[in-house]
Amino acid sequence: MIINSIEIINFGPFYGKNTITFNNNGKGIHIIRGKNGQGKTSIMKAIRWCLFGEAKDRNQENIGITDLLNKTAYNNDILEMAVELSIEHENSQYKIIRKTHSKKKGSNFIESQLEENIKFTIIKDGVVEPNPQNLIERIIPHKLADYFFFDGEMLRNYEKLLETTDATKIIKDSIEVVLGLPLLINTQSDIAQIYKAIDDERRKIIKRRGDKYIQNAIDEFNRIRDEINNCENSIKETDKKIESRNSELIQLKQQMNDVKDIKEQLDSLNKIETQIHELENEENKLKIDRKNRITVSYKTLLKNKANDLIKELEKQNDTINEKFYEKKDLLSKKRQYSEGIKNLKCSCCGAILDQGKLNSLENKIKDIEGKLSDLKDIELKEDLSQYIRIIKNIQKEESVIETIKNLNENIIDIESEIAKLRINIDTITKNLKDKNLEKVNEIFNKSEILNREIGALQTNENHCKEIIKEDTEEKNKLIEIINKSRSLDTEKLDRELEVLEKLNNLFEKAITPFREMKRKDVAKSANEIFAKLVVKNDFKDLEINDNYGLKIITKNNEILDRASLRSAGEEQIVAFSLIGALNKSAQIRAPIFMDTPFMRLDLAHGRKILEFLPNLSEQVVLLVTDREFLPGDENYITENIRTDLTVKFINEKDGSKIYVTEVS
Amino acid sequence: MNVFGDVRTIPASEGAKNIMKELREKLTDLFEEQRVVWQLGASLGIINDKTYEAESLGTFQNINSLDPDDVFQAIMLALMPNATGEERLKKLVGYAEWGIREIYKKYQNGKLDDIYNI
Repeated sequence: MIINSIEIINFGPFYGKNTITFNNNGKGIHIIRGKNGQGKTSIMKAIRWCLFGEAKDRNQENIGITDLLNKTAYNNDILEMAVELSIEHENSQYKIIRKTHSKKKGSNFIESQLEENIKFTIIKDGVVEPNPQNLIERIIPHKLADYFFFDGEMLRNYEKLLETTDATKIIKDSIEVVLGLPLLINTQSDIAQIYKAIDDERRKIIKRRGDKYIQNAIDEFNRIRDEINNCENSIKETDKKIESRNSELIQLKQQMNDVKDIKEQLDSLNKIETQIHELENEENKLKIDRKNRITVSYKTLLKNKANDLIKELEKQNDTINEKFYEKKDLLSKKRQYSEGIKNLKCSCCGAILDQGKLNSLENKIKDIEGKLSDLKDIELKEDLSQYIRIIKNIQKEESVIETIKNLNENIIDIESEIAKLRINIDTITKNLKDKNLEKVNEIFNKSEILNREIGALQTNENHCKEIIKEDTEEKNKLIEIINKSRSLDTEKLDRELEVLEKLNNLFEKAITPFREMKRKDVAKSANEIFAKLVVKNDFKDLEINDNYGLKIITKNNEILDRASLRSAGEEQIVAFSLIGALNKSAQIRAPIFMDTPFMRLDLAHGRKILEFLPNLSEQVVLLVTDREFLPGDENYITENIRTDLTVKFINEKDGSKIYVTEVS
Repeated sequence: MNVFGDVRTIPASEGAKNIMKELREKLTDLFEEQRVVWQLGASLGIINDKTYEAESLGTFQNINSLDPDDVFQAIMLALMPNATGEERLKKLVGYAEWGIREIYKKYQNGKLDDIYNI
């Protein structure tokens, strides 16, 4: 595809109709100059909008359609916008037109109307194409646009290829599209479709024959075949995932190695913190034990006194007992004497029978009463025995004092151990100050997650392999049954199926080597371009990784495999080498538009790229500022510049205009 | 009725109460409650036969809390068999007042362990 001319109407800073015509039928090198903010990038946006209906800012955010409409046109109620490309592609002339319009200003729905009224048309050799969307994808697939219309700043994206992220996968996939890999994959898929159709046909024939036994065998065969295919696809997908995760792991291992010391210290810190935690738990247990023992320790203190106290209480008890029995004895005697007095009197008249004896008994009673009055409060006391028991119990109590002392010593030992560990923590924490610990943890956590994922994927893969093994045995038995049923009417189809199966296997085997071959091609071309572009002679060559990321190898065999190890200019040269190599290996031919390609480059590298431009593509359009494309730079381009235009912003009302560059 | 007569509450001086409160708050790892300090104090007073007569006393805690096993009742009965309940209680309170102050002194000197060096 070569762009002959571009017509821009009320798009971005361009008011009214603005035309860019590339001389020499578009072939060769073309320059569009302009200072910052004049409208260079808008030209590229206009082309991408025309081709794909998208416009993005530098942050890759979509720009709303009303923001694309020229401001003066909007103010003048001209709510129409269009971009038209005239291109030559495979010996045909095309007009690619995308336009839109809305009702007069004041309508509340300008944006939705502009969106709804977009009309996309392709006219091929004067005939309107019925399906422009499909056609444009054949001329230049949307996914590949970044490799043909690129912003110098966007080159940073290619640095991502050195890592393994979701973003890398997208870039890698689109690179493989550029290299034509999906052609093989799609063909294989087409073969599978054809196989299925023929197989269905064969099955119908057998069904018509009415051989139910064979039909069942075929149905079962097909089911097993599908299951095997599904398992094989699943294994392929799983392998890809495992490969991707392994590749991530390899990247991570380098990072893990870089932060190994920090990780060891972090682990040690965690270990010490765990130790402290365990010691604190142990200390708390000991403290609770000590507190419980202190609570009852007053009894131990009283233990030494217990003997004397018991003796004292027992003495009291003995005295009371002695007096109690004395009192009891006296009371008994008193009762006896009173009974005697009673017997000394006549039971009929009460006359005293023996006065002398009576007097003697009465004197004895008086004497007893005297003694009893001293003992009147004496009673046997249960309480006293109980108190003796209480103190005897104290004697029996286990002494807790030694235990408390031992607990104290243990607690002090633990506290001293904790204090030592805390000093270690302080030392490690000081060492780790200013280190990005979150990043370190993130790296190691990611590694753990990846290892777990790989483990799970391998389990899944082994499961699939088991199924395939079992199914294959079953499939072979079914093949024998089916083969026995071969007849003339299905023989032709059987042969076709055999061929298709062989073809399918061939493609299956071809994809991986083809991918490898293309990757080597890209590496070889990138190396050649890199050698031409690079100014320093310290570099030996470029090495390509699975993601198409390029590592610089120095003459000392040092590997500069991270963006941080390379200058911004070197990064751009590497990315440029990759783009050049991809364009060389690509299955699609398209012009290359480069917006501010030299901004990050020094003069020497910029000029090397200028020298290389004619090799890059049949049509190269440079959108450059006066700072990056200096007077005299034209001389570095080995081929004549076919078109030299300048974009100038006139004023707010007239917007930007495109002129042929005046020769000073 | 118990060996202290009809008394159900054991008194303590403001000074002793402040000490018990402070020790309990500062040495939570050692003393579960204020009563533990009182019991240790009373025991120290008894074994050293030392009392402290505080100028005035106020309500402290129920006798069942301070002497749940009747240990102090048994001891005071043994020590003062012929005294009245009131006299025995006064003596026990004196022992506790002395012991509590002794514990506090040891605490202030950083030698609390000495209370067990009998």
